[in-house]
Amino acid sequence: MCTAIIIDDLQKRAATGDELAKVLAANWEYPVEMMFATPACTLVSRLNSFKDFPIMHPDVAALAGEREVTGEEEHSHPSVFLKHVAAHFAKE
Amino acid sequence: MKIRATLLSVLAFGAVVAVLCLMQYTGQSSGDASASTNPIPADLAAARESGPEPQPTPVALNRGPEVLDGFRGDVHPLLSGSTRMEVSAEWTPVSEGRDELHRKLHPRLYAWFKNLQPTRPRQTYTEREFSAFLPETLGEVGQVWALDDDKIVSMLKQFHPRPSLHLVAAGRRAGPDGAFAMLRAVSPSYADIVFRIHAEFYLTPDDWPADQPRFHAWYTPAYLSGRILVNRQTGTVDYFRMGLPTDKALNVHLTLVSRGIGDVRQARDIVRVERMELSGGDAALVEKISWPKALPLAETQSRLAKVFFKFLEIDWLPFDQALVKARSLDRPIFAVVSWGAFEDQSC
Repeated sequence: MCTAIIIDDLQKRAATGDELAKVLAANWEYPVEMMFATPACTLVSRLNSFKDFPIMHPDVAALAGEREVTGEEEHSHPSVFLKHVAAHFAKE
Repeated sequence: MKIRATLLSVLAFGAVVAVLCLMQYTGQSSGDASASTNPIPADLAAARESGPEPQPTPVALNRGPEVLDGFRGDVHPLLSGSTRMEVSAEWTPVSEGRDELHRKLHPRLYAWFKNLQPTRPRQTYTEREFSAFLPETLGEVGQVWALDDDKIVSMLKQFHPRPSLHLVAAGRRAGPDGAFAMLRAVSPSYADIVFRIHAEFYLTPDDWPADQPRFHAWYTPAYLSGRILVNRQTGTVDYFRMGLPTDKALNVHLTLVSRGIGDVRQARDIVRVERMELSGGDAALVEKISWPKALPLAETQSRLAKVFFKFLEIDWLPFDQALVKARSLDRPIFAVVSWGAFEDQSC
């Protein structure tokens, strides 16, 4: 099940006692956190856009064209994400 | 020669000091990169001063071949009657954002964001302007088409004199650019059209002194959505609304970039604006009409959003439904929690 929410709205939900919102809000770090949780609202794993995705698009947080997109394919965003999913959810 | 070099150094130093004072640079704080101003190497900035403004590469649209251009003529044949609709503009001030731009900028600069008011509180539009929202030929419910950008920009000038449908605010992924509409419902008497526009307003005043550091300011709404109700019997537009969505806590991105001599800095914030809207005609009419063929409004908006963003083809559930569905199917939950929304222009 995929869902998305901004942290302001998540924190409001957490404050009202929303079970899933409380778990996600407690584990959120700036600026984007991708989190996997069980239906029992236990956090399984997470990926942070700053910490886990080393390559930054040249238009982001800098003037356009200032930086080149560099990085090995193994560090590309799809690769990092798919490896993470495989590590936590792939069946033997 | 030595005097000239000294003078240039003094000028450069003065420009940097001016930028720092106006933007009240406080440095990186508490790991909050979005709130920071970002100095770049002096050689890069200096090299850029005399060149063209750098332009971001917009995110690609998800527009399929079935999405044709809409009407591009003067007056659409459907609007054969005479429409003279007075449209009111409302635009409430920006809230204080999480990145506290209101504290970091000099009041003279922050006023560009804070003191925004519609250029024209009221303006009368005719069938000529409203034709920009119509397809070349009216088809079936669910039909999607691209709006006439130039005419849309003209209408956006009721808010501010410098709108654009090409998003360029620096330091972020721009776009996707565009303006699209969908035929939501038809009856023998009416057609209900829903639209979504990605727009941006360039705020730097025209009269900013040439001897001051260069500042570029943009106000980027999450998007503007609306509807237009066409009376097919009279050939008139009976209702029109275009406004900023308020379903999320934050819905506008503010950007300020300075380009002093040898120094480039950015400041930004994501804020909430309660109301930014153009409206005219009879709002209650939509509910009064019996629609033999219609899509729910939420589905229409969702399908329009997919014309902009390919990732929305994933089956994203509203947050309040995710846990129930996960439990009923015994599936894990994948949740993206972000500082700002990524399915619009506010982040």
